[in-house]
Amino acid sequence: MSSIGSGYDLSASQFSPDGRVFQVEYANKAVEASGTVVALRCKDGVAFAIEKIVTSRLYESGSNKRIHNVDKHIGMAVAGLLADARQLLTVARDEAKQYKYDYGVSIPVKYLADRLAMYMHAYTLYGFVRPFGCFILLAAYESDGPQLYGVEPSGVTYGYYGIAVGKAQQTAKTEIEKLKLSELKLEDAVKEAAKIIYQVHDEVKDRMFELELSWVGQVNDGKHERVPTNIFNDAEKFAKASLEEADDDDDEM
Amino acid sequence: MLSEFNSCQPCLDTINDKDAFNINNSSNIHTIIPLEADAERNIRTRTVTPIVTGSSVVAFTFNGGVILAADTLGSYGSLAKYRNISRIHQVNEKTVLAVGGDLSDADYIKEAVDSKVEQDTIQEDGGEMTPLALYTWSTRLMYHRRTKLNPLLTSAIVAGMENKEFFQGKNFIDLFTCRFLGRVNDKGSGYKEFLIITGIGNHLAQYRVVVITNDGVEFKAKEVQPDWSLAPLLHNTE
Repeated sequence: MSSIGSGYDLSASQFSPDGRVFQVEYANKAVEASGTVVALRCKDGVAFAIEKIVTSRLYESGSNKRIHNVDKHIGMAVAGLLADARQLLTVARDEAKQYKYDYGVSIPVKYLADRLAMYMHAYTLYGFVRPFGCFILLAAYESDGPQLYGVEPSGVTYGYYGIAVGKAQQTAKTEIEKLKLSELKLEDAVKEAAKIIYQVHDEVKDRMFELELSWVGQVNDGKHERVPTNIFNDAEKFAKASLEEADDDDDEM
Repeated sequence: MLSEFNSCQPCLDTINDKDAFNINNSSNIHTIIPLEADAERNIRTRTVTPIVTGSSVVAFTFNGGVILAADTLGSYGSLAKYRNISRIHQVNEKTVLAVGGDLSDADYIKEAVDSKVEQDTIQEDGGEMTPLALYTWSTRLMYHRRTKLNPLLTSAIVAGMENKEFFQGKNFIDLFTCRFLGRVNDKGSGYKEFLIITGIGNHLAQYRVVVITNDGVEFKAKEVQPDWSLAPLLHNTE
């Protein structure tokens, strides 16, 4: 998995003999080292769940949020280097503000994803800058239904029904594939996302983590926000309960 | 003349082509005083007079809060052109903004305020646009434009219920004390008062006897005759 760049990985302006830009691939490694993000686009909305790994008990809870608002209706979740993501958040907010100023309506999330992708791609072309080490997920509930887009460090963007990014992305992806997303309602999708986070969390390597949950959909009229406290508590309970069930199953075996 | 277009020289003859007939080497081209040249060419680069205007806004505090009133007319000089323009704008749950004067500048202010409030809200850090905050911010906005000699030819009235923190130090804090009413004019000068009228109403409709009590403003003189002889002398009174 880890291939040695051997001289062709010194800057993003170099190709390797087999046509790879190593700096961009290394940026992806930074993404793979961060806490898992799970995003589910269901029938009537999109849910984000983030495993925010806490390295010390001395940190105030709620610091360094990984879910943000870009516009009232667009939510952004980040995996990778948080400081890089903060700059992209500013860029996205400015882009959305300018679009509203120019055209009078909120920016459709597809356009925002394209523009953010163009911006991130620009940083993969030159030797004097480095690519952004983060994977950005954008979600909104628009007139033609829920939308979920992901932008990679290389500047490529796809639309998704469900995606997992970060440490446990392979395991989480398998869990997501078990769900029937087109039939799920948003309240259930939030619970499922929380459950997946709890399931893929590695108790051994990272002791403490905070769960961040947010949603946007028909229930809150397309306004992206953190999940209300009662729904958050329900989702956490559901997630922990399903963990215990899994443990019981293991014990029985 | 545009047939002799030279992209390396400033193009001065958009309206006035007398330069094309000037045989002598004129050094005028290289020393321009911007305002003079603009006036010569009949181009205005800043707002001078308001075009479509809204009239007065009346507001005062009472024992239930603050009340504002404004008509819905947009006048084009003496023509009653736009008959259904809303000049009172709700900013958020606790703040209201009313504008009088040039209505295109009023729209600019409303858009600037809405954009600012939205950008602040999505930060999710608990900050909100209270009446005092909006009053202060509007003062900054108007004064900034005034210093650039390109004023927004409107006045803004900010009204609402302020947060209790603003009244720290006062013994008695309740719904009455939390009322806020202030006005910012086109010069960026702001003041807070119990009774505020902008525009022509300020000169004609302020009653001579007003009593201010804990409950609010009480109009005492019921039979006061306003002095209309002032009316022809008053214009652009924002």
